[in-house]
Amino acid sequence: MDKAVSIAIGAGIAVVIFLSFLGINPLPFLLFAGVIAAIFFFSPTRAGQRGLGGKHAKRGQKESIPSVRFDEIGGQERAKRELIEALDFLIHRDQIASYGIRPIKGILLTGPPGTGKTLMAKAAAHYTNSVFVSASGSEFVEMYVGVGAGRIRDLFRDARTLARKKGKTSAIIFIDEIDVIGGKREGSQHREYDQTLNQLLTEMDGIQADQDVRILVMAATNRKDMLDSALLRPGRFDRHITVDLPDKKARKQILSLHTRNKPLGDDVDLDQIAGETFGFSGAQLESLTNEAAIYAMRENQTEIQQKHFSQAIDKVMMGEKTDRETTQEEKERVAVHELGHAIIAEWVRPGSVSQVSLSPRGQALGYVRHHPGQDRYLYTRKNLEDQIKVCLAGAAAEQLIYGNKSTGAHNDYEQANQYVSSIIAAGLSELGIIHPEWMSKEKMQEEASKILSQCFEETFDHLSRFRSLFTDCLRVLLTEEVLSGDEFRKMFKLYAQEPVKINKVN
Amino acid sequence: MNLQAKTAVISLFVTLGILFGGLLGYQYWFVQKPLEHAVRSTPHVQIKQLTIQHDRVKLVLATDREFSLASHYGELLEEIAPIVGKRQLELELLDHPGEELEAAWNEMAFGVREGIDIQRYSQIPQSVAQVAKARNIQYRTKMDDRFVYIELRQKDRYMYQVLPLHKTDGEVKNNG
Repeated sequence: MDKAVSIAIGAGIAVVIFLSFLGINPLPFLLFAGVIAAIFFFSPTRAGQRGLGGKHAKRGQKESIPSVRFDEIGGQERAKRELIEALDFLIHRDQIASYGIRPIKGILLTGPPGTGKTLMAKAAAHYTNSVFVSASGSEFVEMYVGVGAGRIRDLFRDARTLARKKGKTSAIIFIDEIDVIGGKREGSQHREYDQTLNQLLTEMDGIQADQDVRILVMAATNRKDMLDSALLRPGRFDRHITVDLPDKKARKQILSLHTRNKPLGDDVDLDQIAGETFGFSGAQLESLTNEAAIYAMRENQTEIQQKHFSQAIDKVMMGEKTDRETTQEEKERVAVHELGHAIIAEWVRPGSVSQVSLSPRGQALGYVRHHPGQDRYLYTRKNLEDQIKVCLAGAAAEQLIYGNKSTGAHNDYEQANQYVSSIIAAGLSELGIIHPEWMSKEKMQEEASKILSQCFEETFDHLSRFRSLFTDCLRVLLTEEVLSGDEFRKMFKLYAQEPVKINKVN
Repeated sequence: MNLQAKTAVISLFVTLGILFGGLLGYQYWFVQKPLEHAVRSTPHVQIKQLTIQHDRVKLVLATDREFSLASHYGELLEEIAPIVGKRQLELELLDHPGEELEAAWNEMAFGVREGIDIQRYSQIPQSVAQVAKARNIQYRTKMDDRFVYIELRQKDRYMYQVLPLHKTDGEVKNNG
């Protein structure tokens, strides 16, 4: 579309030059071209693309065949496999007819934000060589009753005419954030949404195998629990595909996809980065590689190095460095606090500390970045208690060095409380298997504080063996502001003969 | 934007190439070739120079002694005219005048131009004959509805004069 415009502009200029060369006044030609251009830009049939005038203008609706391929999507192997299988029904029509298979009408993609649902839908359209019409749920919402339902009808009609025009036999309609219109129908309050939803349901029922254009509706949402049950039943959205946060292997694949066009230094270890980014979504990983490249550019480096990646991880996780000024006294306290976290983290899981930093970032005045090692989905009570100890270590260290605590540990306590509540809710505490609602609050509180105070004591005891390590590390940390995991471990080893043994016994 | 600009520039050059290529091709196949053919089919003339522009054609012809303005020129012009079409035609005949002929022409020019201007055409051959006989020069005169043709010969020298009858027909120039 835009290409055609550029070509027309170039050709127009050429014609004007040619006419002037021949000594013919180019004004009539220019006038004519102007009229043609005006018709082209303002005509209502193209309004969807040019967004000027026309009452059928559909904002943001893209109609094309995307160029994203499935192998450009990192990870999500299972979701991709399932999706491809569903899409094969669109491609192999004859085969499914011989088995008597009813074509799949809808695929619902669910999953946390940034995991590539939209990307999947685009890849699906590319894979099936279908016309791709996309709309967002919010486009169907307007003040006036019936507009949303009308837009649904238009959407399906557009998809059919577009497919016919382009000579394709199938079309994919992608509705992003379908929870806006597909929410549960309850009471009499959201009448307008109900109409929109009813229209969508009837349109989907109208999809039959013998039509010349086969339509597949794909929808994405991250709130599947909110959707109306009529949408979720078989015959509407037949397949529900969960797109999850990527695991380590997938993260590495995503990273390598996004670093394909970037100059990487020799020391960059994508495996390690993938390991350190547990819980990152695809979009966050993309942002991570982007930030790393920006850091490399800021330093005028020709290649992106590992340190840029580790800075970028900090940035994506915690936010940009802030230039908040702190007094020396506060800085020392933060250093003590963070060292406490680091020492206990190293004790419960050797090799897990990847950086201790004193520079304020986002809301935090300092932080310890952990290296999760392996992706984990199951925890024993010991794992959780270890996590609690790491959380409490900051406050314990302050207590040890200064004899008092500060408000800096507020967030740590919150996290610790989360771990405690999951211990109790999972039936790992001494209360046994419980139903949280049937328990009295006092009893749970009692149990929680028992666990917490026990953990705190152990942490405190352990830290008190490392008083001399504190003074050494503090000096380095206060001058350098950053202590890498390896440096920290070197110092830790000097003092930690005994604790390492204890850890091994455990 | 960058990519679009690039596309526009490429399209500009491609279109220019097509337009000017087409123009040149047309001039070669539909103007130059037929002109050359027309001249070749006329005896005693050769092309010395042929310049074709979109609005004008310049044709310089070399003639030999046998060439007769009276009998060949009109024919040639008739053949060239449809090919040249609306373009302005500059047709030059390279003749071979000596001082004698020049002097003779200068003498008779008065009578000839006067004859044309006052539209007493019978005066033209008279004034030519008068001078030519006195200087022993062979001559031939001819007239059609556009031009007066005068051809002077003395030994191996020859001179052609083509004078328009109407001022608007000023396209044939005298090279002498």
